[in-house]
Amino acid sequence: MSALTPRLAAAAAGEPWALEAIYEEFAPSVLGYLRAQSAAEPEDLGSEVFVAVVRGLSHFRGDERDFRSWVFSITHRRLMDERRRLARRRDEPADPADMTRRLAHVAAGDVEEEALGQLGQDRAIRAVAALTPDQRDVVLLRVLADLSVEETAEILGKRKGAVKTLQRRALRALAERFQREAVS
Amino acid sequence: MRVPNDYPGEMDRLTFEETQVMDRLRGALLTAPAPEVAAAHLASMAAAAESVAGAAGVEERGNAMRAFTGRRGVALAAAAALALGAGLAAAVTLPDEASERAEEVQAEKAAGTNGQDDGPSVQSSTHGDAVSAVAQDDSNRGCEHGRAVSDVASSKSADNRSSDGPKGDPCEKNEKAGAKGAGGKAWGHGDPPGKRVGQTKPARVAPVKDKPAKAGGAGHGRGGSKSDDSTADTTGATDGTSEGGTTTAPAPSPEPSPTPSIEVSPAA
Repeated sequence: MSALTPRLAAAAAGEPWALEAIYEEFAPSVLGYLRAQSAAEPEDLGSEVFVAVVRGLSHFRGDERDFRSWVFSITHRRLMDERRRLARRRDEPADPADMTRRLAHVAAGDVEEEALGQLGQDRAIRAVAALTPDQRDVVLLRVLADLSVEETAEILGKRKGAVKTLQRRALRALAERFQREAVS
Repeated sequence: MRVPNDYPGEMDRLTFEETQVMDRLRGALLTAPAPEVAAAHLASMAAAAESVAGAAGVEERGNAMRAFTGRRGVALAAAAALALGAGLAAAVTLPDEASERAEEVQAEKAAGTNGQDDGPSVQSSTHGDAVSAVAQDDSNRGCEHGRAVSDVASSKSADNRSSDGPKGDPCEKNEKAGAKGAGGKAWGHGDPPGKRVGQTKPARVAPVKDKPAKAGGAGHGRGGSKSDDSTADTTGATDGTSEGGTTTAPAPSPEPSPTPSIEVSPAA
């Protein structure tokens, strides 16, 4: 492990400028990854991720590339934790009032999305959601987090060959979907 | 943005369509967060950084205390070793020094003690000589002689007496006693009033000689000074002695005392 770069060292010391720089660099990819993974509350989960990064920064050793892989390993673990938490919650009876609020939010979101012209993001999310979970994880870590095959394999606990295969199949499925949408 | 290029083989290279899909996904999903969301996230990060800094400070203080404790332990161990070594060294070398010092102190103490003992002995001998000289003086006779001897003899012990009661002139008392028949009884100074009333106690008889009775004659009784038996009056016919302002008057004997009376004065 190499020494921390000046920016990471400053962030570990709690320097505000270093924390802002890290956030500006990683916030779009982290929040995009969480949204594409259909996280229930991407902003809240993103906040937990960045707080965990700051708390663990004093124990981190490595360069900027290692730091990127480390940040997305935290993001992926947090996402898995949330999914397990939600899976347990589904077994519990849902609150009718909460269900009503969710439906209203989805309906309003649809209108707002159409109004703001964010159809591209919604379509992208729906296309990614159509992939298998492993394909989705590999594509998003490779595309949004900009991780290498080796780094992706390490985070997901898979072999590099498996990651390559999953990526190729996922990209092929997405291409076919986009072609169908373009024709239709 | 770095394009994944870790496909070494020709079959692993991204096709044009795959590259277009990846670019489309990045354009659709990589969006900057809303300002309010970013502000909330940064605030959370700053708070976490502060808490981490505080915890780090506590940890540093804990490390410092542990290090201080370690250094203190080493210092204490070193001090204990030094003290033990010094104690052992002193235990080996101290007896000679201690014995020398003890001899010095003992010699000094012995010298001081001898000096202290010499004083009283010399004084006693001087006092005795003075008393003896007055007692052997023939210039006075009778009560006067005895009083002179008594004065000299009691001059030393006068300071040791706690209180001397008013005493009258022993020669006058003697004259009065002699007028009554000179058959007095001499009780000690310490006899309480009313005690031994009716009892008779023969007076200590001083030998009737040309010379007056030697010091320590009758009438001294109990309660006198230990060191000055010669301080008692030599009347031997006092009706009682006064001490502390009280006077004890033994009851007169119904019969004359079988013991001979003392000729205190030539006139009596």
